Amino acid sequence: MAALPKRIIKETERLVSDPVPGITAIPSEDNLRYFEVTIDGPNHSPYADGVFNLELYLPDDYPMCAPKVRFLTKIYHPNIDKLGRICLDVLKDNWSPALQIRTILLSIQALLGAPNPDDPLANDVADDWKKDEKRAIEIAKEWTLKYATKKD
Amino acid sequence: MSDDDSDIFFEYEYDQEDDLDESSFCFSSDGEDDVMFDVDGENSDTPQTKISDTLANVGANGTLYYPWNVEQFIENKLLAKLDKLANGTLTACSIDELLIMLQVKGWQEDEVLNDYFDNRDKLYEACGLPVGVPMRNTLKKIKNYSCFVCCEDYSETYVYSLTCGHTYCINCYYSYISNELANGGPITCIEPDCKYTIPYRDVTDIFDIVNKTNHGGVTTIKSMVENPLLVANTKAMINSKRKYKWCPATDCNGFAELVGNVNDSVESLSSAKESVDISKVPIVTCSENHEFCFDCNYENHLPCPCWIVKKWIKKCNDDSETANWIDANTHGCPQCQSAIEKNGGCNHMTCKKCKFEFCWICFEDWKKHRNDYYSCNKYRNERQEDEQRKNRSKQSLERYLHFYKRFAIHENSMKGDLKTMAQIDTYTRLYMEDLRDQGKKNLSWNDIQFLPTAMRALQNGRKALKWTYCFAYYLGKSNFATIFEGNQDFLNKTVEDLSEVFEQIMSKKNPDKVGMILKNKTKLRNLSELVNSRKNMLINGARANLDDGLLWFDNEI
Repeated sequence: MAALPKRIIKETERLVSDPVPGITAIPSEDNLRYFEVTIDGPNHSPYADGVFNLELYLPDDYPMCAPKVRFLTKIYHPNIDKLGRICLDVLKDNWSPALQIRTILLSIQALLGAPNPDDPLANDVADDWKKDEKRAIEIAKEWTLKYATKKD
Repeated sequence: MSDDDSDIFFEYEYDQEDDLDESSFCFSSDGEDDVMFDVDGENSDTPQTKISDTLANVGANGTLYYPWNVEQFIENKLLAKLDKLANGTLTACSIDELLIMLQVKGWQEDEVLNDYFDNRDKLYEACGLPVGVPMRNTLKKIKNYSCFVCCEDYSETYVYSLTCGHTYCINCYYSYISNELANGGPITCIEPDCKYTIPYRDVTDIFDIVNKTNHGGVTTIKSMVENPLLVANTKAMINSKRKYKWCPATDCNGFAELVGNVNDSVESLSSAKESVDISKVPIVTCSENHEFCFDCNYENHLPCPCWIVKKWIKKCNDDSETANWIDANTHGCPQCQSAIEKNGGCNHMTCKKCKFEFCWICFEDWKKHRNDYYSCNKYRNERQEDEQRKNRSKQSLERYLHFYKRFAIHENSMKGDLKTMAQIDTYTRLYMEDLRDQGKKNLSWNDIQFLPTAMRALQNGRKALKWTYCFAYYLGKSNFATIFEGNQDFLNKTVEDLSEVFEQIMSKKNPDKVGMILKNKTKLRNLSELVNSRKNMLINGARANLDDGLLWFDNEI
């Protein structure tokens, strides 16, 4: 494997020395481009008190290309589908090399706090969300309790 | 078709270059790297028609089109629009600004004009151009710089910034731009949410520094047609519009633009499903003279209609493995060429079909082995002729293989011919340059004009021949089909004769290659004319007979 770019080394160092509150990102020992990520559900959202596992991979052309991020924990969210894929502009067209792993993870956390059913990835969830938001939020809470509760 | 070809020839670029209209497609940058003989295609035999002040080509079957390649297209089409704005209506804008606006507006110069006079600031903002402040892009060398994106610490490096002042190192900008080029759209500052667009000239400058190329920092036609942003934008445009089609030839940078109401013509083309009217097949050429069909985006496949071609290609793809297996595991009988698989037993083989006895090891007549120490006299004819094996499916496979083999043989021969021709091309070119350098005038370019003509005839003859096998495969049985096959034989023979002459010229036994070329001048001329006329006879005959219902495609096959 090619040497790890300085950019990735620096970012990893900073993620460890100066972690983002509510977010952890630990590089895999086998592959320093692969991160195991946890994001705490934002307060005052249906995902509050949940801890969500994600995987993050830095492709070869990172930072020219966005990292690949996916939810591993099941989540009921209009912009996240069954496979955990995330519909987020900064992961796609609006990616910029000046963004970082930490900014991307913060954006994902913000997405949990502000679901956007008008630009859905999981159509069925988005439909529920638009038809009966209260009910949808209830389901999201149930799922959080069921799948994303910390097991100590 | 080419039997009523006009006499337009411009094989050697310096022969007739001055004849060409400035606005026409025939742009040749410096002529140095142009191929001297265009060995594939018959563009130069193509009649031209004047439409709205530019020359359009009339393809076989009357399709109106422009043959392009990316560079020519940028120079003659896109830069012409730029020129119109820069030197006419929008003289207040810089070239960089105009290019960005044109790109954002899909090269619709009228739209740029309208929006500009409607609301200049709004247009500028939409294009990521600075409003109210001058453009302050900088590309400069500085010392002791740490780049925020790559995290490298440079003792000295070039850095780039747009009017916004967001600065990053040149390597990051280079990778960033290279990466964004695939989108074909305008590229903005690296900083997220910063909408300033990187101008074309800056892209050239950044690429020049990183690739250590040099366009001298001035905007020239060369720097423009090579500009990565313009090239990427052009390619994206060609991909997205129906009136453009890339040339299907390998590594070809050329494409064709259909003239006229494209939606109408494209629809009429594709509506020709199951049609036997091959006069509708839209054959066009790219700038490199490769002929191809605009409808199915395959090479010139006359006399076959597009739907037959699709059927055939699908069949070949499905059955090619079968054919490959047969090729790998069987051997043709030395006498009748039927495929024979040896599934055991000794090496004394008897062909089931023609009863020829031969040795599987040397493929010689078995009788020759009689007194040899090698004996196979224990052979017993265990495998009786199995009539049932000659069932229908086998027959149909044989039939298919018969045509497929010939189709494939001509396809391969085409490649071989191309190689020979490239050799002859280099050889002749060197010879002529030698003569020119020595100041001798005993042979002029005009004297060997017949060569490229003959090469083109050979290529096109082979291509047509190749497709006649696909055609014949689907052809229903009739007397006219037999006549077609007869004409096919004629063409086959002439094409082989012509190919042989070229081979003789390049043969190792022949030391005086140019002498041989000149000696064979009449022969080459006659043969290539014969190939052309036989090819046309075959195609025109097929077309007429299909029209009259004398030939038809058998749907059972």
